[in-house]
Amino acid sequence: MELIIEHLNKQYGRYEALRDISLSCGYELIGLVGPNGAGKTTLMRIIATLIPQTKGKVMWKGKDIREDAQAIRQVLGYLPQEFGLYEEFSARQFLRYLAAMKGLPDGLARRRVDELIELVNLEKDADRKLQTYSGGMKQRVGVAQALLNDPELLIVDEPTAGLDPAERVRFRTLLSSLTTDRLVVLSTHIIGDVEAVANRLVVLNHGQVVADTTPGELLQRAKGQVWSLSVDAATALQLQQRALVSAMVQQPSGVLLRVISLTSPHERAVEVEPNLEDAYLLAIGAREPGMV
Amino acid sequence: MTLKTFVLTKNDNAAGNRPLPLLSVWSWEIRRVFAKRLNWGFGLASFIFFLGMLWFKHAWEMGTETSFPFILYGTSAIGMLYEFTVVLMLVFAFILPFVVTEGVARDYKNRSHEMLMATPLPTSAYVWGRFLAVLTIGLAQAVLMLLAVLLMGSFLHLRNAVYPQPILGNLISAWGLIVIPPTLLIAGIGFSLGTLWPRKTRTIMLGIVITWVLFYTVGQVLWINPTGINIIYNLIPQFIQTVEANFASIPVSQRDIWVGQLQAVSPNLGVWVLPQYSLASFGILLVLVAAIAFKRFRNELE
Repeated sequence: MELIIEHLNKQYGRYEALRDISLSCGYELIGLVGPNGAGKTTLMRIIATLIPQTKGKVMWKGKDIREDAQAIRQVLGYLPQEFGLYEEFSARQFLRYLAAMKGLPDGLARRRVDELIELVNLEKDADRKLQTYSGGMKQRVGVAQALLNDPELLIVDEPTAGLDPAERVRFRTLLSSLTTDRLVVLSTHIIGDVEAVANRLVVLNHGQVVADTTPGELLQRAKGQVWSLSVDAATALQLQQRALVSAMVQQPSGVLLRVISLTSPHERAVEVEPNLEDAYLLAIGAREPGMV
Repeated sequence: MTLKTFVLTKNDNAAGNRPLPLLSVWSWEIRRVFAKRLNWGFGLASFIFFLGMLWFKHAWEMGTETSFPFILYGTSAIGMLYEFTVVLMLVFAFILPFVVTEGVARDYKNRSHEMLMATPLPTSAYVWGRFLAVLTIGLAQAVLMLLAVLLMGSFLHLRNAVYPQPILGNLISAWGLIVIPPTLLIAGIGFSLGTLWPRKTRTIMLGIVITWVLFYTVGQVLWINPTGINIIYNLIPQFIQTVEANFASIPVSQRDIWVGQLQAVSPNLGVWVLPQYSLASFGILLVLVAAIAFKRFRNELE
């Protein structure tokens, strides 16, 4: 295993952001999912050596990252959730700047930058100042900078935020192509993103790992707990208060609901195949009393 | 997108080929400053402002009755010290904190620090590289000030021969004593405090300006004073005493020439080198402390 996390805790005063996290990761693509405040960003920042843990250990190739932070930084590509660029630079200048900060020799940096600009489809705009870029274009620059050192460990936090659907597909394809000889940790709220690319899902909630499994296994766990039914508006409202409704579509004949429940929520409910979003909602703990 | 597009050039570099991190940080920061047109405008505006201040001071003296029975020429050896201290450094100290304080803090403000701090860039190279960059910009401003004094002095000399031609050696001595040490000191203080408290940079800038003004107004009797006002308050009275003791014995027609010659003699500045450069060293020491205490990342929750 390349990355081993043992009994990791992180506290901010009395607030426990991470509680007893243990994970072992090889070269694979891990989808890290969880609601806001689950601890995803904190976990990734600890792995990226940005913040220290309160307790526990993170080992990269057998070495504690707190003792040898440079070892992991040398092989790390990191895209934070929110980031700013130097708007006075062009994309090409900014990438060369970060390549220099990553210690890439000049010749290699120039080739890499050219390759990555092509990869993220910014050839035409690469010499324009970043202040003229749209949010999606800036996000692509962020993705490119994370890949500058051909990282062995790639951590991307909400990378598809701000990307249009076509760009999201491009990015997912790119991530899929990266999984050989490297560990990719992808954090996202968008279940569709991880469904398309991740072979392992780690679900965090309230700072704890509530599921560490494959997407298929997570789906399997949700079997028999997802229901579909069409009801009138008043019944739909009642059901919404009693059970976890994962989808609601207004139709001419009434309201089509998708409900997550251990038992049939209504006499007209029909059991349906769960999707990964349903399975995720179940994993993080549904709000229906007595459920999970 | 096809998968074959992601074929990056391999990491075939030897570790020895890597650029020096400190020099990389410094040179890229300078490039960043130069890439912003506003900064060029700011540099030009400072230069014009320095010239304007010198001209204003000259025009004001010409039209005003002063306590001196003579004109203290800004281009003379003593006049230069006065020009730097009383005219130029007062405004320079208002500009400099805004140039130096956000050398590192800027990364926090525009949220680029998280990306940057996840790279293998050594912390010391980052902090010192950034300091050298802001210091370079601060010194560049100081050079603009020097050029402004030289240019205005030469102009005044050409316009009115009574004004002595500025002597470059005297000019550089005065600049090296009055301008360079406080530049190092303010750069050190502003940068280190801004680095350690990146969210308090405005307070820090304001604090430096207020402290500077205080040193101007109440620090004249101090032996050590970054503004250099103590140097002027030591040298000018000596000069005035010499003038007053001999003024009456000099024929009226020769008084201007005599006073001009008298103020062209460079005073002994050696005694001020130690206190001025001790202050400069203190600024550098603060940067050392900031480099040691610097945290690579600050969480909003911490």
